[in-house]
Amino acid sequence: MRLFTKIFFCFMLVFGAAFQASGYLLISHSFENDAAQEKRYALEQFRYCKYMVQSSVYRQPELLEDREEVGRMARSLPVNAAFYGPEREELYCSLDTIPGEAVFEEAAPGEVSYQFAKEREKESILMCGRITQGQEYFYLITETDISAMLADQRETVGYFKRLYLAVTGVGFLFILLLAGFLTGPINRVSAAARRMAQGSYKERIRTAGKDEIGQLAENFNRMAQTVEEKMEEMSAMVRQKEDFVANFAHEMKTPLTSVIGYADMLCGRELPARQVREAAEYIVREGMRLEALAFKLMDLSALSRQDFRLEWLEVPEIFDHMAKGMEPVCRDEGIRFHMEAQEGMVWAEFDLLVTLLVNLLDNAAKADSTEIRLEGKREGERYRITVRDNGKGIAPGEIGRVTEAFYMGDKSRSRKRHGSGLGLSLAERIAEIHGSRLVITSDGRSGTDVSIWLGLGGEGEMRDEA
Amino acid sequence: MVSLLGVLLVMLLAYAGSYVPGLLFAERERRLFAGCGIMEMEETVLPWEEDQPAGDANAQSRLETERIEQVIRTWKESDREFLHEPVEGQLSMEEAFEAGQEWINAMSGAGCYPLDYAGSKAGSAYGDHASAVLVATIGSEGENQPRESYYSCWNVIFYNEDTKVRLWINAVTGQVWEAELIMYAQEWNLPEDFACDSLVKFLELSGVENAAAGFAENRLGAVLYLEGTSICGEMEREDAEWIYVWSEDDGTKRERRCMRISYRLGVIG
Repeated sequence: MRLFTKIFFCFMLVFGAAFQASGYLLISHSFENDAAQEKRYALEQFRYCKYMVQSSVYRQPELLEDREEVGRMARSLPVNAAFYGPEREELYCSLDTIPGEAVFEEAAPGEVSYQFAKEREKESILMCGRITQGQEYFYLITETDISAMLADQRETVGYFKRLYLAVTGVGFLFILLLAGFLTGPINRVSAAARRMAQGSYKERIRTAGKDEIGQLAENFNRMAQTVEEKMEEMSAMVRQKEDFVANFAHEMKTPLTSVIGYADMLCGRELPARQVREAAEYIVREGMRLEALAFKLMDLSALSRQDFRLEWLEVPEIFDHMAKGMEPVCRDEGIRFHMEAQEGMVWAEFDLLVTLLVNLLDNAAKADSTEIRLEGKREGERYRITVRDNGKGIAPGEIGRVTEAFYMGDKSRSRKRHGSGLGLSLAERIAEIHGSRLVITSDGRSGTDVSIWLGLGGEGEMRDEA
Repeated sequence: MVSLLGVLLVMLLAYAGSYVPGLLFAERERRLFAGCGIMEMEETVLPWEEDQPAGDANAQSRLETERIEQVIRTWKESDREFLHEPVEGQLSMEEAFEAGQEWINAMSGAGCYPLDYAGSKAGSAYGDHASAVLVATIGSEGENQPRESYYSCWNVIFYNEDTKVRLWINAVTGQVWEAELIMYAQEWNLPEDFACDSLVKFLELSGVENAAAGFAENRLGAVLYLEGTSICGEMEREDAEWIYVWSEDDGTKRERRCMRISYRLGVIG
């Protein structure tokens, strides 16, 4: 059952029951009061009649023996009356209703009994009491008409019924509107949720009021905002993954195509030794490039899975370690390698930092540089490490993309030097792990600067290390 | 569809519910006419507690002047009264009739009964018929508050063709504190000092013992002031302007004039 129907049903039931109950209680109370009032009035009339009869009997003790006199006396009374002897024999009766036996039995000496009686269209109260005359007594019964009171009661009940139907009819419309008013906002939230489920993540509900419905709408908007952001994030990740897979496949396909081609050539025909050697050299070169690519992929994968423990590291020690690796390579390539570092402790992970610097220095070497500088400098509360080269540089328009996986500005040059396009991506990921990022500056002609900022230790860290 | 059925069901229930009060009240009426019972006699009149024998005409209970004044004020201020049975210390109906007759005899004996001065008497001083009811006034506290027995009075009426004497007799003391006499006679020959003398006698018989302090009379009535109390005696006299004429069985015509005289205890202020 819909909420609208439930609300309407409940409101109508409660309203109807409350109206009926209060009306019944009100009329019932009025009925009780009226009945009590009529009884008091009937008692008053009985008492008056009783005094009149007693007065007459006092003046004329033999009055009751003369039926004519009894009738004359009874007719002088303000209400219908009846006289019965001790054996309940009728002496005179002008009542419209017939008294029951019970009313006689109830009337003990000094007491007045009553009975509500109905005869044809007349309703009345019969009052019965004893009147003592010396040693004898007789019964006096008076009849007080209450037809008007009961007719009023029935008219009131009939009026209440008409009033109830009218008020219920009007209330019906109001409760319909009310139920619609209450369920309207819920329907809007439901419709918005439905549209969101169909892909419209920008759905929002206009909130009004601070009640529960307003809070529901507010929470829905918050949820929608979060869903939209997550969906955009996931879409970006999916696009990245797709690009990654596409680039990876391409990077794998290119050397494999050549390797398979040369291998097929070696298997297929007799070649001169020189050609065999060339083919083998090519296969070895491409194989090494694929191996480097695989290692880089493994490194990237490892970075996303591990929790790294950073520690305070001496910068000069790191630089000395780098120098040991770079100097032979630079000497072979004919590159001048300069290193300059201010004293300082940085918050880093040793292997990751070395990997980052190796990749940056490797890129600098592959950029046809003749001079590479590795600098370390304190800047306020951070320590800046910069790799500067005087190579080909990076076009300004491509700086934003060089940290993408597999992106290579000059593919031919990179592949020739066994480049995979993953080095800067790896370095960027390592920088993120250290709470930093790579800042690359280049004019595209006269070299490139790549910097990273790390947490700088104070005197305390330096003393602990010592 | 479900909603529409629900709405229709609600409307049906609402309509059916409109018959419920009618059925309940019909059942209530049926039960009302099926039974009978005893009236709860909530007598709110307290019994008399003085030492003197209660209701004894020879040694009547007496009330102080201050109490009489209190009762008179209550009678004047109250516009509602109720009938009740005599309680202990109050006169019975028979004693009330006797007290009324004694008052008429005493007034007549003192020459203060108007009917004695009628041109021709028709009927007895008491009347052929009599009735009496015992009433108590309902005070400002409401009808459910107990009343002292001396607030009740017997309203005794003696009447016949020519006379109607209506007396308000205090239910505890048996004294007449208010009287209304309506009499028909061919002529009236009331003495000159009738108003003052009859008022003095009325006050004497009412139990107020204070001496007279002043008297005022005009065409409509008279007032007798008393020393040391706010109570006064008031008399009103009304002579009807019409002459009542009717034919007797023997064809003769009779003419009579009506006179109404009332006596009562009043309170100044």
